[in-house]
Amino acid sequence: MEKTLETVALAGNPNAGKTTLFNALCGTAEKVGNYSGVTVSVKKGEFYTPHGRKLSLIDLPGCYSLSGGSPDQEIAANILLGKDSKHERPDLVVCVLDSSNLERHVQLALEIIELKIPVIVVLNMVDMAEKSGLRLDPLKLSEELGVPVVPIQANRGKGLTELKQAMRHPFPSPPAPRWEAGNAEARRTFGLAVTELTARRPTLHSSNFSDRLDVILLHPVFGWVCFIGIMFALFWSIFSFAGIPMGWIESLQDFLIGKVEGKMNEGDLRDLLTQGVIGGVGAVVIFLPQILLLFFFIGLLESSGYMARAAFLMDGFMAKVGLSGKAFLPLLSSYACAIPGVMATRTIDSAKERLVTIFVAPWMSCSARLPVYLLLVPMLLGGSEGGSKQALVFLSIYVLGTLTAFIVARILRGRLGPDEIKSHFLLELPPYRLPQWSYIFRHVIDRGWAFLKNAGTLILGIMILLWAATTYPKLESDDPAEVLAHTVVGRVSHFIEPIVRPLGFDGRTGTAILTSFAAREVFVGSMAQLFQVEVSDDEQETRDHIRDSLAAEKWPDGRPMFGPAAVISLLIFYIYALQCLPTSAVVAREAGSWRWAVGQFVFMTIFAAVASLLVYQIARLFNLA
Amino acid sequence: MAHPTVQDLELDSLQSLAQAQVGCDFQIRYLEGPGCDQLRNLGFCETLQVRKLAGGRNLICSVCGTRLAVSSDLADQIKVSPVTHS
Amino acid sequence: MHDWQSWTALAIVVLTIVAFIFRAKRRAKKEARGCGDCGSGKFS
Repeated sequence: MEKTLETVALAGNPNAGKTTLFNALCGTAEKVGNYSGVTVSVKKGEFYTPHGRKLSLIDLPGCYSLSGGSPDQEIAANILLGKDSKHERPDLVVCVLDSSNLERHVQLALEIIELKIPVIVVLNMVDMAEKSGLRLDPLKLSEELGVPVVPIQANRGKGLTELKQAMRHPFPSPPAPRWEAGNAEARRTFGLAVTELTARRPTLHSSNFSDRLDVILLHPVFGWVCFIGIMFALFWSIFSFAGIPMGWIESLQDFLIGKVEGKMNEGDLRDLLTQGVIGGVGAVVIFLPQILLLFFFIGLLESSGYMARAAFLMDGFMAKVGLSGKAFLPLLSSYACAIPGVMATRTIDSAKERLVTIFVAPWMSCSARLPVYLLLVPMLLGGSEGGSKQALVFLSIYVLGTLTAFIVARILRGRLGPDEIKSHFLLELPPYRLPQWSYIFRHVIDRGWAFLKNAGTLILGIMILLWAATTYPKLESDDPAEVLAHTVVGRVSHFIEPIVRPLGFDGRTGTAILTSFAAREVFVGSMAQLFQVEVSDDEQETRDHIRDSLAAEKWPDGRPMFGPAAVISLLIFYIYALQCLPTSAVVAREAGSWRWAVGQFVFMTIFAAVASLLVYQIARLFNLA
Repeated sequence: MAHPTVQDLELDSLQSLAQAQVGCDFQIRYLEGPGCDQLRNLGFCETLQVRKLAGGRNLICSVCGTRLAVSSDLADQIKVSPVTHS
Repeated sequence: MHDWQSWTALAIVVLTIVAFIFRAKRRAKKEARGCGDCGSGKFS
């Protein structure tokens, strides 16, 4: 069925707007951003021409030339050259060029024309180019290149009809190159001559808004102040601003529990619904607003153009740990989710640097850890949520993960040895742009929906099983402790306790940690269930219930179970443990070996356990337990 | 020994972009070194003009309206001559 | 009185186990499924 559709490929330099055009044509919400290397894998979609013909559209990662380079660029080059085993060579290539950078971007178009495939050239972001005073002549360009040229504004959907018209059958026949094909020098000279004719620049260089902003944001001192300020604002707002929508979710949860308890008599099903489903799943869903905020802020950073500046600033620091500033882009993305972070390492030229970045990326705390941190951080300092002290602890958690990642990267990079071919730092600093709000909101909603879907399937399932494990086998007794000890969880806890006790946890916490290997945030739901939190319909917040009941828990000798030492130990475990099977699967594929993924999993789990053990035992020495 | 030609003397007087003064415009004269292809792909072609915007470990320059951050190692491979504005 | 509740709860648990087995089998076939939490990284 797939073969019957003709394939159109979107090719072009990085950050030319290919994915924005792809989204505009196919109505999708694939990830876009204002920096080079957002798309690192092939995206597929379908669209209709004005004549009603269905075409298959593939969005290629950006590349500067067809001679390869980093892995993402090689993917694009191989497909265009027909060397890719998974993808057929496209029937038509739409070359997306940034109108403001024609001199540079037209070179790839010339290379593609040499391949003798039908080509349409698209001049994207013509509005920006014209605003900067550039005078474009698409007709002349079309004449010179011998291919149709369509000016568009993909982010506003302008020029799409003209583009679709240009794709009508039969596709434009490949032109004969007007330069000596295969000769890079001749091609370059032709490209420069053509752009001189078709894109006139007003002056050599006039300082614009981005230049003026960069004077501050890339300043050796103020740049760092701004960078730290931005990161602090990001985490502080996640920590502080989400209170109101979280309150709504809590009210809904309380309302549901009230309804169930009002309608049903006491019994297993009622317990399952209130404790397992509403209590357990609800304890996780409550953190949805913060996860949405995190994706929103990272989306803002990605689409504003600041990511490249952050990479530039970090380069000096990254060099000290044997990585380059470019490696910081995937790491920053990993704060949202490690999977796109690991995939984004495809933009790194050096294979060894890439492996090291993949290895440490999961230590950038991802969104799934947020619920765990948000439950535990207020327990550490006492009192309710909010406050700058708690926000500072919250930020330190992220800093700790990041710094440890850098230290391990340094050691690992040293062991892997130097590169055969030295790679250099070379990065485009795109002009600052206003975010594409519609995309950002759609992206955030998509992520939120995925989170809810996961809560409604995987987490719900685990909560039901966990409820079963805390209920069966049943024992007729009046002593709740005795009843629990008889159940599966009771037995598992009993077995686990000697192992996790030196880390400061009892068997139930150990069991909650075990369940969180399915998904980190399950920990919160599991703790809610295992410590028998009474989720009632009174005014008190559910999370406070969890915290209150955890704070009230005591060891048999009367010491509080969740003193500062135990909470820090738990936090340390969650900062370092790799509890995400999908990440391991992606690491295995990207690193090209399961051994790398298994090694990473084992290393991180042992590291987390040992770090927790040390922290707890040292804290005990200082009487913090 | 052959005497140096005028062209040789001119080439000798060129400076690398890494050494060039910040805030000035330069013309790219030629590229030499292992990073040539990478640089050309990013727009550092002979005959084009470049403005150096900031120096340091990684310098910032503007070519054809694009700002690029380039490591000083790479910038050393770009030989430029000053542009005099009339 | 609340016996029906026990049986229903047990049935839900059994159904969940079956669903997990089914899901594991289905997922084993897919090569890359992206992040379960946020859906990031789904690709062909």
